Amino acid sequence: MQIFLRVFVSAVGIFMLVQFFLLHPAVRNAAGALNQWANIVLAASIFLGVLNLIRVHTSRIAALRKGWAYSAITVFGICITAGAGLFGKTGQGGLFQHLFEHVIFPLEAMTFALLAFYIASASFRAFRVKSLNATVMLTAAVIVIIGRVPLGQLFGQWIVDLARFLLEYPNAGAKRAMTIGVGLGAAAMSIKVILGIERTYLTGRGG
Amino acid sequence: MLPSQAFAASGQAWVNRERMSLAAATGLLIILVVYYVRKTIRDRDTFIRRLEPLEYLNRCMGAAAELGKGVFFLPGLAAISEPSTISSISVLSTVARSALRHRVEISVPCADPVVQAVAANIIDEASASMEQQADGDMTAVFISNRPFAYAAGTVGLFSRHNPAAIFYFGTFFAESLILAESGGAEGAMQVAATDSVTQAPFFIASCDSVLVGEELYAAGASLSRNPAQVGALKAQDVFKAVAAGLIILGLAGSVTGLFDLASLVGGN
Repeated sequence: MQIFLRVFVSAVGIFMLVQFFLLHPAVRNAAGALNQWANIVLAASIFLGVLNLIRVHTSRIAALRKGWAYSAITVFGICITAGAGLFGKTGQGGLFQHLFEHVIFPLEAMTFALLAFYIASASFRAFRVKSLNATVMLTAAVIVIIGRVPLGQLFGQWIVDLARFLLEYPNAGAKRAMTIGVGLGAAAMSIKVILGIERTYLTGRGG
Repeated sequence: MLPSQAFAASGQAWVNRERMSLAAATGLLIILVVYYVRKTIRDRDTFIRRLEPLEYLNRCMGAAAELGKGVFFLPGLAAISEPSTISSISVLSTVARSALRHRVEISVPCADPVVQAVAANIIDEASASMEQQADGDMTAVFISNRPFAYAAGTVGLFSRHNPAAIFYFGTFFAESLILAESGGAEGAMQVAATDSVTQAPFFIASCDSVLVGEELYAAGASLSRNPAQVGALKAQDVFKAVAAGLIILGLAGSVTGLFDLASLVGGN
């Protein structure tokens, strides 16, 4: 079975790689169909996740393990949301839409808003002047912060230009270097998967 | 008339000529990978640079064993089809074995159901090979595929389980700082490796040791020392040197005005 899976993964991988360079409609259609199947399989996999979530949390409730009350809230939330989606109206005015707009959306917005405080604490730690590198970073950060806000223009145009220079040259250069490295690394990893060199995700063993 | 017949009658080329330079680069990378994998398997003395964060990862595992606490491994939020997640899973394979060897509980909160299934399989395989049972009531668990819900759920797990170490390997988005700062607040030792260019600075600010960019893809090979993986890594480095050479050549041609390398290889 393992060998069949490895051959199948390699064959599909080689086909998807080759089709990228071909224009023939038969090849394009086959690649389109494979992409659709991949999307369908990925969409269906959400059931796997829900089943795992229910299994983990119900077993914790049954054994009354530490934090079982949180598990009960999770299972209750799953049941209510699934029930609202399966048996209720899913459009405007329905319970499902109501849950999304008035429960999930505000909770996510709240978590996102917390980022401001986390950024403040992380910045405080990163910008402490304890080494030459940290001092350079602090100086660059202060220039960029002042140069990018309207109030910074009170210091003169030079700080705005300096902030733009820092963002457009040293910062963009470093980001592009990382992006190129990531692209090459991802390409090499994809080829390792296609050639069957990387198969940990199938076997659980490296190589 | 069938689309294939219409295409043949139109006399259009079968091959996309605009992508020929990309095809040549892909071909070169495949040749390099095959060559270096064979060479490394044959010679077995290929040198690869030590990655300091991976050494730190081993120290974290030792500290977790001493403290009698567990560790968390976060495989990122990307799907299993992404190279970053495959790399993360490769690292998890070694980390899970190390955790079992040290008798440390490992928890893997996942944001993708397929990644969760694969991670659970990796831990089971590691347990079977070490003839041990993975500890704890949660090893690989699906939290949510929504980033902030995942962050909230995982931070809750951090505060309840109080882990000795947290490892972030994979693609992360805006939730990265929430996770890393919360983990730091719990007093956990933290190692991160991400290919997300915009999130790397947050990990650098909040974690003890960080691998950036393509180092994530090198981590699996560096940890396992598997000859095939090391050979592929070597090929990647040679290809990177070729790409860097082409960038410098293109820059020189553009600055001096002698030639335009981008137009020669079919770029804009």
